[in-house]
Amino acid sequence: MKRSKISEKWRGNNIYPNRYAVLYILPAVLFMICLCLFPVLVLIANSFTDLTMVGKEVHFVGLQNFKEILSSQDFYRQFGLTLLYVAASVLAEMVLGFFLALFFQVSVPFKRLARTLMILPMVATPVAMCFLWSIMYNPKMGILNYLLSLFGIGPQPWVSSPATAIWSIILVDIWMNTPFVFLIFSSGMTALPQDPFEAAIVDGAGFWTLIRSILLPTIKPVFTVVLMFRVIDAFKVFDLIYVLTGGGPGNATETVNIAVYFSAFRYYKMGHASAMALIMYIFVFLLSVAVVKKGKLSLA
Amino acid sequence: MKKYLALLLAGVMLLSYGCASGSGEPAASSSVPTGESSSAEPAQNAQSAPQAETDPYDFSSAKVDWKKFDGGQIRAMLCKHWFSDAIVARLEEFQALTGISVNYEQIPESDYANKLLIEFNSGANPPDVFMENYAWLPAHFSGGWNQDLKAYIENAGLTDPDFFNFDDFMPSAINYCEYKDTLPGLPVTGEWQILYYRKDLLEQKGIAVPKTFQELHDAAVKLNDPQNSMSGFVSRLKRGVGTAHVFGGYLYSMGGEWITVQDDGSATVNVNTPEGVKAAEYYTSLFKDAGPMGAVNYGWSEAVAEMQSGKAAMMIDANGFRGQVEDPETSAVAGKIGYAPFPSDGVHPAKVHLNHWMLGLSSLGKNKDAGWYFLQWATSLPVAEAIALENGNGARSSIWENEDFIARYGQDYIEACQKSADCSERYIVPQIVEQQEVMDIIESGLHEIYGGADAQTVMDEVQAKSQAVLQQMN
Repeated sequence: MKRSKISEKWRGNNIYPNRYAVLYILPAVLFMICLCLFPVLVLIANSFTDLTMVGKEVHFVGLQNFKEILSSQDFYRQFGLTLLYVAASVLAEMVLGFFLALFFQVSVPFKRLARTLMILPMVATPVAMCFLWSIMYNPKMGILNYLLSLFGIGPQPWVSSPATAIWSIILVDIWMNTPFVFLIFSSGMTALPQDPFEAAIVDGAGFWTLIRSILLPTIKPVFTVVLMFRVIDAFKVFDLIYVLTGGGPGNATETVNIAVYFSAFRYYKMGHASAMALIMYIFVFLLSVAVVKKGKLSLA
Repeated sequence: MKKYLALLLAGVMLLSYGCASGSGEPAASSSVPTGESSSAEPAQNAQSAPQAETDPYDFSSAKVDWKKFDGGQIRAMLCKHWFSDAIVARLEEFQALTGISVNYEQIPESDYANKLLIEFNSGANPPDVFMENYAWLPAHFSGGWNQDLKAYIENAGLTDPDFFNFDDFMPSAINYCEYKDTLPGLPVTGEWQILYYRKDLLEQKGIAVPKTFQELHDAAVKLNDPQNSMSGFVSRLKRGVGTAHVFGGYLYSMGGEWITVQDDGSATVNVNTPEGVKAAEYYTSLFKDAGPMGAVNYGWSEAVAEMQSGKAAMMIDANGFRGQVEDPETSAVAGKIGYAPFPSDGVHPAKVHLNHWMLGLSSLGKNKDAGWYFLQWATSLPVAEAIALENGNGARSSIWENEDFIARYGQDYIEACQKSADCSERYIVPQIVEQQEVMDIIESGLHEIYGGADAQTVMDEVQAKSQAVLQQMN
C-alpha cells in the first residue's frame, strides 16, 4: 500500500513519525477550513434560500434564485461588462508588464530606483489611491483635464460619462496592477539561463525571433501563473468601481460584483446575492482550471 | 484518511446549515420587543406630589434620578453628520450628569446603513442607541430591531414629562417619525429642501430670486459660466445618496407621483405619467443646461463643496448644510448666501422632501434604559437648543421661535425653512423595505436621461422595473 510505503520512509528517517505529521498540518488545515471552505459552503447553502438581511423567515427555494438571475437581462449585461473589464485590463497589464520587464533586463541607469518607484502603485492602499484618482478625474478641478488643456484638448468627463467611465476605471486598474505583472516577469526573466539566447544570437536570430522562439516558450510557466493571478484578481474587482463610480453613471459600471453587493446590502436579498456570487465563483473556477490546463502548469 | 475527510466535510456542511438558519433567529426572537420590566410600566403618578417646579432648561430640577445607571456603559452608532459631531462634543456633559459612559462609533453616511445592518444581523454586541433614518427604517422595522419609544416617554420612573416636554417637538416631525403606530425614534434634525443662492451674483445679473421651476431654470442658465468654472446650479444626481428623494420633491410638485403605499402595506408605482416624464426631463435639464460637468457624481457633499468654493451660484438641498456654507473657515462665500423656499411650477402646490434624522433605541440593546437617558439628554431642551444655535437647525418648535436663533440665522433662512416645511410631505419617501432598490432604479433612469436617452422610454423602463420589485414584495 502506498500509505505504508510513505510511513516506512518516514520511519526510516525516524525524525517525523507518521502520527505527528497529521498533528503538524492540522492547524493549517483547520485554518483553511474555517477561512476558505466554510464561507463557500455557507454561500452555497444560502444561494438556495430566500435569506434576507432584514430578519424575515428563511425558506428553501430550490433553484429559484438561479432561474431569476439567468433569465434577467441585467445579469448578462453585468456579466458582459465584467468580462470586458477583465479582458481589457489583464491584456493591457500583461503586455505592458512584459515589455517593461524586458526593458529592465537591459541595463538602464538608476535601475533600482526606477524599479522601486514603479512598484509604488502596487503597495499603496487601493481605496486611498482610488480617492486620489477620483480627485484627478474630477472634470472641473482634476489635474487630468488641466493637463489636457495644456495641449488644447477640451475637458473630458472621465468617470462621469457612461461611455468613458468603465475605461477610466480600467486605466486605474492597469496603473495599479501592471507593477505586479512586471515584478513576476522580471524575476522570471532574470532566472532564465543565458546560453540559449547567446547561441541564438550567434546563429543570427533577430530581436523578435529571440522573443518569440526562445523567451516566450521558456517563460511560459511564469506567463501562465501571472495570467491566472491577474484574471482571478480582475474578476474580484470591487473597491475601484465602488469608490470611483459606485456602479454609475446609470449602470454603466455595474459589474457582477457591484450587483452582488447591492443585492445583499442595499436590497437585502442575501439569497439572491449568494446565488449570483456562486455563479461567478463557478465560472472563475472553471476558467482557472482551463488556464492551468492550457498552460500545462503542474500545480504540484 | 478519506473517511476522516468525508466526516470533516459532513461536519462543516452541517455547521453551515446551522449558521444559515441561525441568521434568521435574532429577528424571530426580537420581532416581539420584550422591553425591560421597568420600562413597560405605564406612567402612574407622574404629577402626583406637588414638588418644586420643573424647569425644562434645568436638568437638576427634573424628577428623574439621573444617577440611576451610574457607572453603566452604552454603545452608540452614529452617522457622520453635523448633529453627531455636536453630540460627540458634549459627551462629557452627559457622563457628568448620569455617570454613564458612551462607547460610540461615527461612520460616514455611505457606509453607515451597511454597518448597522451587519451589527443587527450579527447581534454579537448590538448598539443600544443609533441614528435612524427613514431610508432604512422600514427594513429595520421588518427585522424587529426598533424599540417603540412611547413606553419610555410615558414611564414616570425614567422620564419627567414636564422636563422632557414632548409636546415641544414639532408635530410634523413626530408625525414623520411615527411608523406603523410606533415611535421608533425621536427627531433630532429638521431638514427640508430649500434654495441656496449667491446674493451677489444674482444682484450683478439683475436676476430675481426664483420662485417657480421655470424661473429657476432660466436663472441657472444665465448664471452658468463654464469658462470661469461657475456652475449655475448644483444638487444631487449621484446614485445612493438620496437623489431619488430629492427628485421626489420635483416630481410631486409637478403633479406626478412615484410610489404610493396603501394602508394594507401594498404599494403601487405610477411614475411614467406625463407629469413624471416632465419632472425627470426638467430635473436632468437643470444639470445638463447649468450644472457642473460630471454632475452624475455629485452628491450632497460635492454640491456643498462646490458652493463653499464659490464655484456654484445656486443649490437646492437640505437646509442642514447652512452651517457649512456659512462657516468662514471652510467657505469662501460665507455671508453671501441667500435662502428661499423650494420653488413650485405655479400650478400645483409645492411638495417638498423632508427628513428628520432620529435617535432611536435598538430592541437588541442590552442597556436600553440607560440608552433612553441618552436620548432624553440629547433631545432635551438645553442640549437641543445649544446644538440648534450652533447649527441653525433642530426639531423642537421652540427653537424656531427662539429670539437668539432668529437673530443669528436671519429671517430669510427661517422663512425659507418654515415655508418649505409647511408643504413638506413624508410620502415622498416610499415607506417600504425595498426602498433602496426602487431608488436605485429611478436614479439609474435619471442618469440615462441626463446622458441623452429619451425620457418617456426611460421612465417606462423605470415603471416596469419598479413594478417587478413591488410585485415580489406584495
